Amino acid sequence: MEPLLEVRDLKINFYTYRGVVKALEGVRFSIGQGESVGLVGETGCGKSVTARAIMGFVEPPGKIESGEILLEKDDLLKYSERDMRKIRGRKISFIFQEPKKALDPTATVGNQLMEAATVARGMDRAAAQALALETLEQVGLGDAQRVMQSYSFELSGGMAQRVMIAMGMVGGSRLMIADEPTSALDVSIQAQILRLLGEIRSKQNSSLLLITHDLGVAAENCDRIIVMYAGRIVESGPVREIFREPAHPYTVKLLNALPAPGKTRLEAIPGMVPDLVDPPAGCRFSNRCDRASEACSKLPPLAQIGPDHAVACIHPMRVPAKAET
Amino acid sequence: MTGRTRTLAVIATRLVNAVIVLLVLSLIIFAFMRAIPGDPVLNLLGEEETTQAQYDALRIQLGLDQPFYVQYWNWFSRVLQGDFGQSLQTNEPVLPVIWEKLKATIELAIFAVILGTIIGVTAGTISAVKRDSIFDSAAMLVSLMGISMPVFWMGILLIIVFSVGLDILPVSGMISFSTIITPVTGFPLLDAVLTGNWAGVKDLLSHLVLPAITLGLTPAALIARTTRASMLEVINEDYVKAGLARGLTFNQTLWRHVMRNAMIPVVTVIGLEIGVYLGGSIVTETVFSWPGLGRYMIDAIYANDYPVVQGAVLIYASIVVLVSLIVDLTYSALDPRVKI
Ligand SMILES: Nc1ncnc2c1ncn2[C@@H]1O[C@H](COP(=O)(O)OP(=O)(O)OP(=O)(O)O)[C@@H](O)[C@H]1O
Ligand SMILES: [Mg+2]
Repeated sequence: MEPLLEVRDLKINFYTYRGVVKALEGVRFSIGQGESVGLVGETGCGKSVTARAIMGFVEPPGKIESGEILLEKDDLLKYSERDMRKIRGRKISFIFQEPKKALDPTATVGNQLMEAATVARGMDRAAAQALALETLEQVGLGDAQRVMQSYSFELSGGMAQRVMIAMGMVGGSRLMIADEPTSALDVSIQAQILRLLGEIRSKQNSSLLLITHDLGVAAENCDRIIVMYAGRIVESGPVREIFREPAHPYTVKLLNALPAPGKTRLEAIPGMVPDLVDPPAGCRFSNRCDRASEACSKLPPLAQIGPDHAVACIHPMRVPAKAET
Repeated sequence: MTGRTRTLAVIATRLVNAVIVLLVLSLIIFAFMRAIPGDPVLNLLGEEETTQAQYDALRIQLGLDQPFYVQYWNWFSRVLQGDFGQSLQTNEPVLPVIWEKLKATIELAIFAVILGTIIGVTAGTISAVKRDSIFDSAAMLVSLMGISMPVFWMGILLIIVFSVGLDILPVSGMISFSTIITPVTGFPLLDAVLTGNWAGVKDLLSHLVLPAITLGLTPAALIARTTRASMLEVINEDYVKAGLARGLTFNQTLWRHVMRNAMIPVVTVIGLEIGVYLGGSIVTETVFSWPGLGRYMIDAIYANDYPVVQGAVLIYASIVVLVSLIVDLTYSALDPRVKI
């Protein structure tokens, strides 16, 4: 699969008064055309920072130290703010965790939707309006006329998130980045929104980066899963492989913490996430890992263990199968 | 209820409240005037050569011998009919004179409000966008001074620098003796513009500048600080990021989504400042010998001219009530969540 987006060795620090927060280090992954990728990990592991970096939203005290973010082979990190503008909304759209906060409380939905078409893409008003109405219907907002005239406080969370999804479509984006798009919504609505994201993606053959701390959500909605831990990618692979043959001890623990039919006890992961100001030198999970040894104080590289399966661990649960490669 | 009838109902309630406030206020000022030292009868007759008989006769003629509540009722029932009585000193009817003086005050106040709002909002916006820049630090320092400096002191300082020191602006008054304005509306500056009297406009403006700055600076300082704080808060909102995320430039986001939201608390502050503007206008008019209602009222207080003071206070209070109603209406126009 031709990669649409490729992140290479991304390193981001935050220069805070507490010290340098090493938020991301050596992050590399790619998203194929039409592919849906789940980015999973505990709170604070760097999922949102990764997403913000792709959007060009890393601001002081944050600094991108090194790496490349290739969109169709063009490095976005070399883009000026002016150039990034042409990417945002048109090539990459962003779906926020709290949809009602992502809408201007004093502007109508229509105003903002049409803006995505007129200001950002240079459409005329009439065309923009037609497109906005059509798109609202596509995201399942039947009474599109009325929604256009509504303000965010008049919408439910689910409706607001549909509007935000429509916003990305109006811009014509090829890649949707959804940062916990359902965690602020009613449980009953969550599945609907995720299903909608999936439908849109397959209809438009666009790609999706779904950020979630819920491995189950990622499994149901994605082709591939990337597991992050404390600013690093520890494992990535197709959903089936991650679930059947997890290679990283952290992934195993995440899976054990998932609720499942017949399971009476969920296993919590003992220990604490390391402080990113002063993380362990080698594997950042080593202080919580049962399999850790002396060797883990050396940084484990992200190694291929299957055609599309990689793990960063010296003692993986699954030995690299030479026969497969 | 539809939105419109609800709005009307709210306005009606507000007006009823306003009437109650004005009623209580008029009672207080009525009592207050009679409690402060001084005797209007003696002021009129002069202390010497006045017999007790003359004194009593005038007192009865003015109705000041009546019990308090009778006096109040006599005054109040006429006010309801639009008759504010006559000045004890000049015998002129109070209301027309107040209206004439009020025009000068309105001219000054409007300029000060415009000046204060423009300076305040602009400085606050630049400060927020260029946060921690030299401009920001300087503007915030000046605004702190603006807030802490008493109005009269500010006025005197400006007079010393611009009128006495640099000698580029007049010291006081509203107009030079040599300037003649043909009356149209009674607002001199407006009339000068309407009649195309540009020399007159220039003369009036040169008189207006210093008092307007004096009066506008304290509110400008407060507006600048409010604007800055409000902008900084709004700039961090998700919907601003969302604006950028759909491809707007920062400036487009600023104009289309930040400004309006950031102005909501600013409008509240401007509304609250109206009382400060009017209070400040009384001081400013005194410092600059501005022929407005404030100075007229101060003179009337010294002369124990009861009807004039009562009338002026009532008018001031009505303006505050009216303006705050207008501010609330503006507020609901800015923020769709607020339906008044
Ligand atoms: N503006 C900032 N200043 C300092 N540190 C920051 C800043 N933003 C993020 N970080 C740090 O970067 C790390 C990753 O944060 P990030 O928001 O990406 O986590 P996350 O995986 O999205 O977590 P969550 O599930 O809670 O959203 C955290 O340790 C956080 O402390
Ligand atoms: Mg996050």
